[in-house]
Amino acid sequence: MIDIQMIAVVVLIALGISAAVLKRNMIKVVMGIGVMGSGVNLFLVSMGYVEGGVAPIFTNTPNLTMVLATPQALTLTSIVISLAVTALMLSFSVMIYSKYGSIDTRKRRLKE
Amino acid sequence: MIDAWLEFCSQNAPALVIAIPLIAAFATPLFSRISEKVRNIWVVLSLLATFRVTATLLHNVLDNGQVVYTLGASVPSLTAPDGFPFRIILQADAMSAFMAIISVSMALIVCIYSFRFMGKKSGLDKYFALLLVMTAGMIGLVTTGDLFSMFVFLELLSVASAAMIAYYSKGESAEAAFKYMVVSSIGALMILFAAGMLYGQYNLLNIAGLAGVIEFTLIDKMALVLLFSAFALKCGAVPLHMWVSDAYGEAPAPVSAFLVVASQAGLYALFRISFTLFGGLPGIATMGWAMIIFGLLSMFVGVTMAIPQKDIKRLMAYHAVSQTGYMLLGVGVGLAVINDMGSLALFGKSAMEGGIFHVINHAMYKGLLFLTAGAIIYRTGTKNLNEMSGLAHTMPLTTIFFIVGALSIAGLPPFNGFASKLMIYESVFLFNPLFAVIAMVVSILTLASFVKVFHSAFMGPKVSKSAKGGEVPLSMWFVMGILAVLIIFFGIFPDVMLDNLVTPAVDALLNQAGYIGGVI
Amino acid sequence: MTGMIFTPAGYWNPIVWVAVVIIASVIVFMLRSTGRKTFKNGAQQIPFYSGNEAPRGHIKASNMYWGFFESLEKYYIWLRKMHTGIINDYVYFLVIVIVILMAALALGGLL
Repeated sequence: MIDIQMIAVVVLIALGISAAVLKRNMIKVVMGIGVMGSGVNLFLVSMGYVEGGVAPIFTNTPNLTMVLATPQALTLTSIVISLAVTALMLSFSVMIYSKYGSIDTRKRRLKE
Repeated sequence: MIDAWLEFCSQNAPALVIAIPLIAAFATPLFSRISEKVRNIWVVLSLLATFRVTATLLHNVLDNGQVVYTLGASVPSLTAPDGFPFRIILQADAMSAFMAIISVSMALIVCIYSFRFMGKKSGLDKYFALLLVMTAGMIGLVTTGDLFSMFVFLELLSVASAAMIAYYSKGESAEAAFKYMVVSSIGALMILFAAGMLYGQYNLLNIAGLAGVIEFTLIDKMALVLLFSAFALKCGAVPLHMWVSDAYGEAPAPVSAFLVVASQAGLYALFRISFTLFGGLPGIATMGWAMIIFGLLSMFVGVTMAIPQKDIKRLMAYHAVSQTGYMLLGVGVGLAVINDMGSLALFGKSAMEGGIFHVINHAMYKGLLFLTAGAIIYRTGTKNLNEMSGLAHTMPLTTIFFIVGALSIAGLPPFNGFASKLMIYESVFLFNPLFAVIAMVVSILTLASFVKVFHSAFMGPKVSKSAKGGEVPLSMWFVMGILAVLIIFFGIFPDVMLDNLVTPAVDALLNQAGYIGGVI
Repeated sequence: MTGMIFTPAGYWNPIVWVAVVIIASVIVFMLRSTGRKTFKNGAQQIPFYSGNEAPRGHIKASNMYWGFFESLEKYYIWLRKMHTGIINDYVYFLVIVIVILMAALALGGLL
């Protein structure tokens, strides 16, 4: 039993990893990590999905089935963290561009 | 009044050790608006308070066994109201408290060192705020009992560390920080993915709760591999060590000393996952072998990469990789024989004791070595070993501290590095003699590369560039002196550390049932 | 506070070690003090290499252990090739390690 969202998760994570491994542009590496993060978030949300469930807000839906609340809280936290991480990585790329004049990952100065 | 206050601190110690540095961090920019002195006093006081509460926690844990603290419950000990731990639980056993006390002590030392080392540079309010955030992240990572909070604290630690690495705003430091951030965020996403895999099957995120019900399906094994490799990345095991040399090499020297402890928090998480969460897995010995191979590769590749380095901090960074290998080797031998009670009692447990003992020794001598490198950079303004010469003429105290650190890392008696390395050699010898031989060869190569640093930086004629200025300021050599005295003290009395802290930590790591029983 | 730690093969006591070192150095100094006091300043102070005066000056860090690197040249070429410093390779190594560990655990589980 393979659900469509699991296929999407695998595709997103594979795309993200391959971007991080193959792309020479730093911005594209950051984008790859963002895509991978979306894949993981989709995975977390789909873990808590209940057939026909509604948003887990107790006061509004006392009698209906709700989707699980924990994965939604996790996903929310994870989205916030990935926002901070992406912003930090992009600001490092800006710094690297202003000092090196390039955002090619192969134009690095630290090696060996 | 005071008694009631101390009682409150003692009862809520697991929450306070995370809360105090975190609150203090965000108050630091406010205090630095008043004046620099007020800010410095505030940072030191908050770290001292954290130290005091951590010491209380350690004392409680050593006296009464592990401390469990449920966040948001009416009674902190109410972990599983319906037999199901759904709240975030902080769980500190002897191993966690051991790691927490290392983090706080090093934070205090690094903080005092930084006052004069950073001098009048701009943005220091953020520097000290980030230092406190790093402390909070480390303590959170080692005291949490929850896989998701582990991810959160790891990201907190990574983000703060990356910003610290890029402090000098040079191209190289931005590059190092970028690499560090990319690998750690990919590692953290792996951890989150693994947590999701486990949550999807068991509806649990609590480590103790998961360890109680886990059935070792194929998906669980995949989760183990993801967690294992992500934490191996965080502790800098070869071949996932490349970020270490960049990050340690480019960060300000006190930050490098603190990053050593940050990597060890990753090491703690690796041990916690392998021993507690997956300790009952039938094939866990395979992971023990993986840990041993990581350890051997780290030791050898780390030290052979260190010898040709010209940058003093990059050289020391590769040594940090190499020494992490000893810890992985010692604890890995314990994990490889965990299901064989005879071997575990004969040599497995003492190999683990050696590995865990090496953690605290490494924090001390590697911290000292990075601080002496900082002292050299403070006076000469260069990291390049080729441009240094004759520093022993002008910096006698730094020279002595460097010798103490170098002899300790090379594992010479009577310094503390020898005590832990001896335990690793002798117990690993019973497991496989070849591994012990490799460990000894690595020690010799370590000594060789520190002889190179000593010769090129401290010996020889004075060069005009390095002759300026004498010894480093008092607050800098004072904390280096504290570390040097501790190294010699625990070298001559290794039993003090071993009996009081290390053996309880190893027992806690091996006592999987006790960790589970604390929650359910 | 005895300093004694026990290992699988025996024990280690640093206090005894320190005591032995102190006693040994006292003996060395006693032996040394019995030596002749005919040392002269001047020619006897100059270090020399095989009859020639030793070159004065400081050996730079990059010039040290030349023979070591020369004999391990192939290993170092391989090592330098591994440490490219490119971030894509760092991620690539992580992927390889995950694949190898998965294979190892799958095989270890079957055995």
